[in-house]
Amino acid sequence: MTGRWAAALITLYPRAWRERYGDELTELVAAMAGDHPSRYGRLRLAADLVRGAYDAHLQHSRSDMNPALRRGIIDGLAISAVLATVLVLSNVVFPAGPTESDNDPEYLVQIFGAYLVIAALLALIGARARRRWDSEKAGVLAGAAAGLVMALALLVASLVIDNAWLSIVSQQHDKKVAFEASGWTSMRAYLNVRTLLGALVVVPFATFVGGFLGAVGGRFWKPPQDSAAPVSWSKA
Amino acid sequence: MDLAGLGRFGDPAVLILSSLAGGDKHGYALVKDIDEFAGMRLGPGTLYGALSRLEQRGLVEALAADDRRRPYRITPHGAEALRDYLRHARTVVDVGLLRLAEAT
Repeated sequence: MTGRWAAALITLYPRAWRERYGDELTELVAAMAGDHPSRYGRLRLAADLVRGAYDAHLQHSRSDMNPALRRGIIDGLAISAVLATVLVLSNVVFPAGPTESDNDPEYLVQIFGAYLVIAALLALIGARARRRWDSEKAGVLAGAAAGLVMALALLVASLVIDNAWLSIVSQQHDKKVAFEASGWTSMRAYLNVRTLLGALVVVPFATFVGGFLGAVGGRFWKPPQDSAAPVSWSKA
Repeated sequence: MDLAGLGRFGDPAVLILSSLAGGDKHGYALVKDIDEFAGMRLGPGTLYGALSRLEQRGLVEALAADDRRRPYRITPHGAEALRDYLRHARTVVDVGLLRLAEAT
């Protein structure tokens, strides 16, 4: 039983990593699972394995890629996964009523709040990169990469949602009004073209804003003056 | 600093090197030993994340595998890095305790 879920989670690790450490890790998980027979204990082991897989991908990413850029891409992907989930929930699972518009005050506040959170995350990504690599450029690069990845991921998510759940999406008030005013005859074609044309502006804009916010975050959260002395384990 | 830049694996790396300073060990023996002397139970992903980084830096070396268990050994370079780190840590501990004693 342990072998099955552990083996499944270990496949999350990069192949090269698995070839080197996979057998040992499997053996260790089996031994530790014997010490943690409870469901909570197994969950903790599983969570640690997933986090370890994430770190292994970071470690084994292409070594010739700028580390700040790589970090920005990975952070951008992580945030995109959350945003894509929110998009599916708000457009497909719990869609707004046929008379509700994004311009309603209730939704405007939610959308504004979401933008604020995203801006704060981009600044945080830049600040962390600046702090870690002690370079202003690292903050800009990480923020820009995260912004670019998020814009591209949301573009893909929007296309998937609009095409896979067109019957639900086409009932949205704003889309119906815009489609009727457009003179187009195909809702699917209209939504896809509008999304792709919007991406031409949104993708470069998100990259620029990401870089800008990364730089701002780096300015506010500079590296410590002396980070060489290991005053605590966490600095090792 | 050979132990610098390990991020969240910094603490586990020090624990692993301290454990291996007492003799060669495989993964499970490391987890048990660290639990005994530090009261911290490292997860499998954390342990191997730290071990792989230590091996990459030449601070530990893998020995021949015994079935699916592979023991690890601290290298002279690893012992030196651990010694440097612990000397720094001891200085901080000494200063902290002294100031606490003076304050009370």
